[in-house]
Amino acid sequence: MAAIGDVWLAALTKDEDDAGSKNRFNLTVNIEGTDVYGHDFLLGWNLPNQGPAGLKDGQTGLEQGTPPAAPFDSDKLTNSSVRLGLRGDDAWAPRHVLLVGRAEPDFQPGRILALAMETDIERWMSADSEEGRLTMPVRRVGAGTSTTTIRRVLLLIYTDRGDDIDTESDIKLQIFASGQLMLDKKITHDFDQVRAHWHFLEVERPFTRADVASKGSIQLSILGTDAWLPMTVFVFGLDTEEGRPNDVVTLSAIPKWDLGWLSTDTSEGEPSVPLPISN
Amino acid sequence: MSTIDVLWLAFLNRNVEDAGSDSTINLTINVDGEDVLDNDYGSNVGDGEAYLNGGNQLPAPFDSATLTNSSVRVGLRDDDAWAPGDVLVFGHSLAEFQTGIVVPLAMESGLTAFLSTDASEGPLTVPLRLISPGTSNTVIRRVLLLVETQFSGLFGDTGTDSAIQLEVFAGENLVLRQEIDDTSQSDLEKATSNWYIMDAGVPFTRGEVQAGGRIVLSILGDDAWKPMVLFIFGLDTASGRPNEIVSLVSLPVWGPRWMSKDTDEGDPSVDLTVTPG
Repeated sequence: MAAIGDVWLAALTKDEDDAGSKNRFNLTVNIEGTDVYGHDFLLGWNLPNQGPAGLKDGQTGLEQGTPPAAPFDSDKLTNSSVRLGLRGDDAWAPRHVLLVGRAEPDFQPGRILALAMETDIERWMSADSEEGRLTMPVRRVGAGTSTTTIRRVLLLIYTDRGDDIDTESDIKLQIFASGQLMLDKKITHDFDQVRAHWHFLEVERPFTRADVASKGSIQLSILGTDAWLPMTVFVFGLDTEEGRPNDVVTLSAIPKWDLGWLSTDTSEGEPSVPLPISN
Repeated sequence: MSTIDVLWLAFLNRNVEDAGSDSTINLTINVDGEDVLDNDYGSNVGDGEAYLNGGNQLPAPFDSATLTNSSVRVGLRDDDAWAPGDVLVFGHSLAEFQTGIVVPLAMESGLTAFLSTDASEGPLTVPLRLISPGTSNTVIRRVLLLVETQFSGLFGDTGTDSAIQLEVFAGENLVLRQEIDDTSQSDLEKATSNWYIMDAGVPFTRGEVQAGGRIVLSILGDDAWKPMVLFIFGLDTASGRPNEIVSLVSLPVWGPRWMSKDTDEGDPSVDLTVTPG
């Protein structure tokens, strides 16, 4: 049992005309007929005084919701439990959606875990019935184990608002497992303030979290001197090479970054930091 | 198990200010992560009024045994907030319906939320928990009459100002007699739906009605009335949300008959066919 006391919603909008929306995103979590969680997510772009209003085409949102009134048991979730809806008629075309939970401290292993996920979504959403569905189901995914074979990695990053915390420098994610480099990916876009990013990353060869814990590491590096201070970094391992995963393994989860600034200018920060590996 | 390929939605709005809405109502039914139904209902029903709609064949039938308490949700597609008090979803299989089998699926009663796309007004959707269809031995303590009066069309003045009366006999015993007249709803107006809950004077079972009993609907005046759709259910609880709802009468098509005490215009009373099984 994992008693979920915090929830994050991540969503990537399709990169096509009018896919974005200025409406709020309504999430409900139902267990045995009772809504144990409900929240209207802004997903970052409508936050007062933070960034321009409106979700743009192709943009990602990553937001921590208000905590549930009482922790809920993730073991009791079913494929019918989680639904995502839109609170208006500015139609939205999501591409991928992920619900992440944080278990109460007594749950081991892994305090942060994926709860539900949909990928390659085809439907549009809108309160206007001519434009799309009012709500859609988000099926649950397993949290996997330390021996789940990981064939793809999902990197979610959110940079908050702050004094020059964004960067135009490239970054790199590397994963070493059993002494071998399993993933080595450079990301070349800017990391603007109040912006989230969603990246599916291919691996060199499949591995497990246990392989990473044993003679391995997860390294996040910056490749330039434009210093960067991310806010949230999630690294998940997916058990499928493509399409919707069955298991989403938490490799590293840093909801509130406390590893300092990143920069190749060592007077400003560290060029590379090892990310904590989840249990 | 029942393969559901026809669905009905019924609700009674709370009788409070602004409970009614002209926003489109959205009903979803999910089975193991797949929406087997996503239907919109244009209701435009006022405060304290009732709604009954359905009867069309679903594009994809589903097995009622696969539903869970998280499967059924009702929502609103606009910001004219809606406050239903009681909501019932029921269905039937066209193939099985020759035998009159109607399957109550989900119900909530005593709802208090206003639904709206406007987050400041209320939730976007609410869940409807499953209810059991009961059996012929389920003890019935209340009766729910759902009736829709014929819309006008070729039929003229289909509504009535006359009172009607429902009687239920279990064997030879009269267990319910309820006159319906001048309630808070728009009673028996043309193209209007009504939701009437009645207490059974004596608890009974459908089996007892089938064993020599009957269910009789009467009109008590000469203002002729033409129902269009009529369902009667038995509820196992004396108040609040039921655990079991038993189908007693199912008339998705009432037929050609009018009702009136003036026998030149119609029948003063009708023995309704009781659901078998």
